Amino acid sequence: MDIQDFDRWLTAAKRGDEDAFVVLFRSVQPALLRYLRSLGGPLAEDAAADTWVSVVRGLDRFSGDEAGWRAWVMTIGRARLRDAQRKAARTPIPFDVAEVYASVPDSVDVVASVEEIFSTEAALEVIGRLPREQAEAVLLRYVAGLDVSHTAEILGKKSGAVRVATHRGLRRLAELLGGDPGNLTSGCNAKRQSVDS
Amino acid sequence: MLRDDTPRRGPHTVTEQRVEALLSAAAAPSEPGPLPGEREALAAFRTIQTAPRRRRSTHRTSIRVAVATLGAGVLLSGGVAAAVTGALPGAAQGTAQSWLEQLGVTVPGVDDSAVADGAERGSAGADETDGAPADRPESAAKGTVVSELARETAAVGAEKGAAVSELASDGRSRAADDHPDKPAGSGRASDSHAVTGHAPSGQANAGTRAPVDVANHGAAANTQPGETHTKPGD
Repeated sequence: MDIQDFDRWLTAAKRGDEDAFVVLFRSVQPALLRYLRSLGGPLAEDAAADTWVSVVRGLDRFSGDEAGWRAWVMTIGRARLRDAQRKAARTPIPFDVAEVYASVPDSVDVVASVEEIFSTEAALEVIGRLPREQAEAVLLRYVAGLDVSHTAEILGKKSGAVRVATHRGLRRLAELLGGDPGNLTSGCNAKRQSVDS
Repeated sequence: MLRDDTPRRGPHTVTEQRVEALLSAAAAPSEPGPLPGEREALAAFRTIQTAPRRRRSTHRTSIRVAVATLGAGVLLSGGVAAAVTGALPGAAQGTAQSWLEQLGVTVPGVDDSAVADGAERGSAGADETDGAPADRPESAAKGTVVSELARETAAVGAEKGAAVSELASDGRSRAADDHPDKPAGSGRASDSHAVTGHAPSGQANAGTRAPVDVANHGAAANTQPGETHTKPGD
């Protein structure tokens, strides 16, 4: 969506245009759901719904471009997930764990061959295994497509810390996927690694 | 190519290829068309758009419960405005009345010709300054939707206490609502801070578009590397 288009959609949505709202919604909902699913598992849907209630209430106050819009929605989603996780921790409700987790793969073969295609669900599950900070950085950068500065704003970190967290996350993913992370470089020393290792 | 805001060589090890494949899968485009949660979000959007606002908060749970229990065709076809003016057919108007009253809107019931008063709870705060435009048909109705358009500015202590009350009362507690005297801009900095959606000035975002942003339906596919997002002119 180019900048002029986004402007028009946003203005129309603020005026109550439902088609415009749907456009804005669809531009970020996949990323939001995946972020929430990866970090919050079964809490994702409720957290997403709560997010949109907050978004529609605050829509009049938002101004910015398309990236800013996605960053804003993700910020709210992050807060709603935090609320949901706090609430879940305080009120343990007995539930059938097996039933709740039936929708996600029981195990992911992380030692995948090069040709194997990850499902979206499996990929999010693996990312969710990272330390929280790294998982968030990877999700916001690669799944939500946000740049470093927006990501830093959402996470309340400096840009340098985001870069470090992202890099560490990628290294950890490489470890999980069965390889030597030594070749994931950003210009620092790297040894070539044999494909067989 | 794995992105880290710096020029990189492409993935050539098995490991790098696996990570790249994983990230691509995580960000793969969705199917076109309605998404999970879309109907509910649209219903919430309609609720906010068609009713005038007052500076009193509605707990998020109330809105969500109201949306979820709304009879399938009642308000989506008849419209909230029709419900507010009492124009829906009998049973539908009754359903709409109870639903909207959860949101603090008083509307004519099935047998009412006059708008009921006194259904409003809580403190009578001043209207939101961005109140209903004159052309909204429901401006004639006495009731107003209670909706929390103010920033979610609960301080930690109050928020904690409110959350406890909320749990204890199954969501009926109004302690979670923003107090009208609460100072603006306090509390959840992450919400209010990001409202404007601007990248901090002075930070170059050149070449930072991650290649796998297709999770947004390729919305950014047309952006060029090095494009800096600027605020559209008002």
